[in-house]
This record gives sequence, structure tokens and C-alpha cells, in this order.
Amino acid sequence: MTPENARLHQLRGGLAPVEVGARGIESIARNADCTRLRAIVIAGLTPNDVIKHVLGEAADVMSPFAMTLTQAFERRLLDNAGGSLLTVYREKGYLEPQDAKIVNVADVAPRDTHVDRIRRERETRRLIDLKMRGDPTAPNLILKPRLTLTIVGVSHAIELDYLVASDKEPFYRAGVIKSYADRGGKTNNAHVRSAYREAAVGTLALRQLLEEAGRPGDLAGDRVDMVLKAPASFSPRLFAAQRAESELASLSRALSAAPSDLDQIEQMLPAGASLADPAVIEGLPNHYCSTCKEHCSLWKHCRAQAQAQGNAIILGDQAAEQLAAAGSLNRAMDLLNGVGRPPDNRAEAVLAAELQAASLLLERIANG
Amino acid sequence: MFDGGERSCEKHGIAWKSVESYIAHMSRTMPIAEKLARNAERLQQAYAGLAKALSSGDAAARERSQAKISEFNAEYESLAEQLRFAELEARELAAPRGRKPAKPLRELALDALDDLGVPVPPALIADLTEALTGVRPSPSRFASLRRDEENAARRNIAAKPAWIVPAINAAELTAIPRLLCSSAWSLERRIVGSRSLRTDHLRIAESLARRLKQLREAGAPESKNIDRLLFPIARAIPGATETGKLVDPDKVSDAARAELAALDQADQAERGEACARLANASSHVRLWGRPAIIDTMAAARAIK
Repeated sequence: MTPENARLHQLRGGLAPVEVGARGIESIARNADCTRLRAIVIAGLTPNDVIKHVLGEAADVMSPFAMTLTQAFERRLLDNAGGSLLTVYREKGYLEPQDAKIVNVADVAPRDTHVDRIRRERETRRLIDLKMRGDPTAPNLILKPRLTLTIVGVSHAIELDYLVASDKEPFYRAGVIKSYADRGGKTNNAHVRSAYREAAVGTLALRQLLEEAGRPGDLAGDRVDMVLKAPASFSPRLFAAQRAESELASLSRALSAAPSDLDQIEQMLPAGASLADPAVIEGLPNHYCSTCKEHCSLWKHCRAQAQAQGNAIILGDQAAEQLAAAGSLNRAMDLLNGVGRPPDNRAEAVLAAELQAASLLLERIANG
Repeated sequence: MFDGGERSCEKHGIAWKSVESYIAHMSRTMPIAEKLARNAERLQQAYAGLAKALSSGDAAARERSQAKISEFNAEYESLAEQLRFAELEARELAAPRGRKPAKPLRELALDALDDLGVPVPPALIADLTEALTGVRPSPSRFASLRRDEENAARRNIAAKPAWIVPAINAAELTAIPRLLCSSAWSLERRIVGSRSLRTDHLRIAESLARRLKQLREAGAPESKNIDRLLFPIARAIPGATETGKLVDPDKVSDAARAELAALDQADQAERGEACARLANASSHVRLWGRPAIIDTMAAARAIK
């Protein structure tokens, strides 16, 4: 076992590591200020595992409806030798008719065993190596590639939906398939950003692979692809070569801080303590925000803690921003009711006046 | 009285509806047989015309007779195929369900593979088997079947005329476990190169389109199942389908052939090259591929 692996093993306290995947790694960048989430992901666990194995509660499960929809849409695109995915790329002019080289990495080693997972990684590297060498047999579409991303000296596996490159392009772009409906400007922007970030995790893995091979990491570019479904149908809608600079930057920042995060977490914990202890999990600082519910199973715990601390974030982002001067809900209530110590500064005084005016307005509206 | 008869049939395992369908199918085979008899008659007349033209040295009459013979021969082929399907169908329906011989999984798989003619995933074998026989083997059973076949072949490779084997990767010459083939096929057909997933997809479309056409012409109810199976495959070929319209087998075949024409040469060359590299390998390697290499260095770096 490598020294880094030994440190993480110690941190997990006997819990078996799991594949956090692109989604898990992406979640760090969603809430970069949450030490609890960073500690869990860096250690090779997921919030769901912590809920199940450490806190002994029922794990979060994806809605069966959403799961069926996602799987069916993915099958629609990737089954039949990725024919539908290839067609949508051809229709949009991103692939030429002769760009018909497709490999499904899952065909090579389909089982969910350790050996097959390693074989899928090796096959993915071999295929990417063909592109690096400019081999004419390099695939245009690599379905279900398995890449690795090294964080604090250990490699984390990520299985992407696909990689794509025409014969003319120098290297691959990562692509994600999402079963969200494309509603034009009304598509949930948070969903789109999250999908881009997930693909960007793949881009970072590609950059690492290029750098290991002595090639410039920039060859992987800063563009990602996304396929959504058309509303009320399973027709794919392609968003190819989308700029993901900011997603890549936020991920790079979060991951480059991981080694110091690990040091910090180790220093924070008492000697011999590990993440397998519920008290340690509860003791790690968190940063609850309204979007935590979308990606972290621990959100209920963090919200309860925020509520106990009187943190205004439990009322939503807007309320938290407006009540920032008070620092806590209890202090905001004191300012509203004019009890406790007088306002400490001008900001508190302004907030007190605003809260009292709003309260009077509410009373007038409610009681006439 | 009628109800009682129906109940009695059910009691003895013969579905009354099957008997009705059998009669309907038998009545459908009659007009085809009549058409065939008429075709044979016309063919004889055309041959007589040809003999006459040859003896008289009339070149124009000879050409006309030859054209007629070609036309009647093509018609004969089509009618004979239709009759064969109709008879097969009638025989199927005539056999009471309980007495139909249950084919083992490997036989079903080999039948489907020979129908499709290219390496395919277990799910497609299961889908085709269901479409044609009404019985769907679970795709998850194919992994153990493939391993059993390999073990049995290790003991005695000559024990069976054909084994279910994995396709072979053209670059690495290792097995692709999720794509299955028949060992009776030539090595070149069992090899999967960089373009083969697409070319095989096109060949599957062509094969199913041909089958759909035959079944539709014979009025077989299975045509609907093949239609359903072909649609998602054809949809992934530009110009093969039209929104809101039934799948046209000729259109699918044309579109598949057109794309295949552009890719086939390079694909065949890559397969041929891989074939040559396996020329001196043992029969086991030629069927199950080279052993896969495991990257232990990568495994050491992985989180554990």
C-alpha cells in the first residue's frame, strides 16, 4: 500500500473505499467551503456511505422514476453500437460519415469485478494512446470510458458516458448524457452547470493522462459535450463543444487544495479518530447552503446543525444575504423585537430598521 | 356444446385459437402454392420459347425468352420462400404448446447468431429469439453459457460442430466477452476492428430488413415483432427511416448498404490484418482470443 493510501485508510477507519466517480468529485466544487464534504470525498467515501455505514440511517435512494428515465435514455443513445449518439453528432456536423470508429469499453470487460474494472481502465488508456499517436484506427466515439484522476497521490476511477473526437480533431472531448429535458432558455441552469462540471472532471482526467505521457495537458481543451432529451420525447439534443472554463477552474481549485485539505483534516481530528465515528462526522465543519439538497445526502444533518446554530441560511440564500449583518437568526430576532444589546454597528442598525418596517407592513396587510 | 369443446381442448393442452389460426394459415398457403404452379407453367413455356428461338436463330426472340426466364425465376424464388414461411408457421401452430420441443439456450443463441451473421450482444440475441419464437432467454445467462462452452471445448473441441465464442478484438487479439459469435464462422467474421461495431450494425439492419420483408410478404404475425426490433436499429442509420411512417425494409437495406459501401473496405482490411496475425495461433486462441493483460501498476495506485 502506498503511503497516501495508508493515510486515507487510517482516515476512513476501516470503512471500505467506494468509487466516488465524476459526480462525487464534482460535488466538492459545488460547495468548496464545506470541509465535511471534502473530507468524505477525499477519503474515498460518499455522503450516502456515511449516512448508511457511519450514522446507521437509511441511505438516500434515487427516485425509481428518475432512475428508469435516465437508464432508458442512456440505453437509447448507447445501445446498437452507439448508433443514435453517432447519428446526432453526424446530423450536427461534428462527425463526418467516415468517422464511424466506435468502441464500447464495457464490451471488453462487462462485469463489475476488480479485474474487469482494471481491464476497462487499461483499454481506455490504450484507445486514448492511439489518438495521441495519431493512429488512424483511433476511435471517434469511446463509449463508457474508464479514466482515473489522481487526488492526493491515489487514483480515483471515473466512468464517463463517452469521449468524442473526429479524425480531424487532435484529441477527445468528454461528453455526458443527461435525461433532463432541453427547454431552451428555461432549462435549469444549475442542472446544466452540474452536467458540465461532471464532464469537466473527465477533461481533468484527460489532462492528467496527457501530462503523464509527456504531452501538453491543454490538448484536452476546455470544451465539453452534453446530450439532453427533447421535452416529452426521447429524441436527443446535442450541445457539443460547450465552453467549460469556469467549471474546470473551480474543479482545479478544489482539487489542487486537496493535499492541504487532507493535512488540515488530519490535524483537526483527535489522535486515532476517523470518519467511521459518527461524532467525528458531526464535528467536522460544514457549510450548509440551499443547493446541498441537490447533491449531498448529508444535507438534513447539516441543516439541523445550521438551525441549532441559528444560521440564517436555513431560510434560503436571499434571507441569508439580507440577514448577514446580524450573523444569526437569534440576533436578527433581537434586532426585530428591539431586545438585547443595541445595534453594534451601522449595518445592524439599518437591518433593525428594515426588519421592523417589514414587520409593521406585514401586520398591516395581515390584520388590516 | 361449442364452449364445452373449447374447454375440452384447453384441458388437453390444445388451444382452440391455435387450431383456428392453423386453419387460417393453411388457407393462406393454398394461394401461394397455386401461384407457384402457375409460375412453373409459365417457366416451362418460356423455356419452350427459348428452345424454339435457338433452333430458328432468332436473336430478338431468344433475348425476350431469356428475360422472361429470369423474371419467372425471381418470382419462383420469392414464392418458394413465402411458401416455406407459411408452412413453417402452420407447423408451429399445429404443435400443441405443451409438446413443442424446448430448445436449449445454446441452440437458440446459435440460431439467432446465424440469422444475424455478425457478432452481437446477448440482449440482441434475446430480443431476436423472442421476436421469432415468443420465448425470451435472459441475457444474463449468456455469460455463464460462454464460460461453460469454453470449458467444454477445452475438454474436447471436436465435441460439437459449433461453439458460442466471444468476438476477438482486432488490435489486441483478446476476447470481447459481450459480443458473441459462432465458432463455425470464419475468423475474419469474428474479428472486431475499429469500424466493425458500425459495419456490423449496418449488416444487422440489412439482415433484419430482409427478414421483415419476407415475413410481411408471407403475412406472418412475427413481422410486427421484427418491425419493433428493427426500428431502433434503423433509426440510427441516416435516411433509413421517416418520422411517422412504417419501417420500409427496402429503404433500410439501401441506406445500410450505402453506408456500408463507404466503410467496408477499410473494415475488411483491418480484420484481414488481424486474421493474419492469428494465422499461426492455436485453435483455442483463434476461438477465444489471447489472454487479457492486467495492469497491476495501475491497480497499486488505485484507492484502497
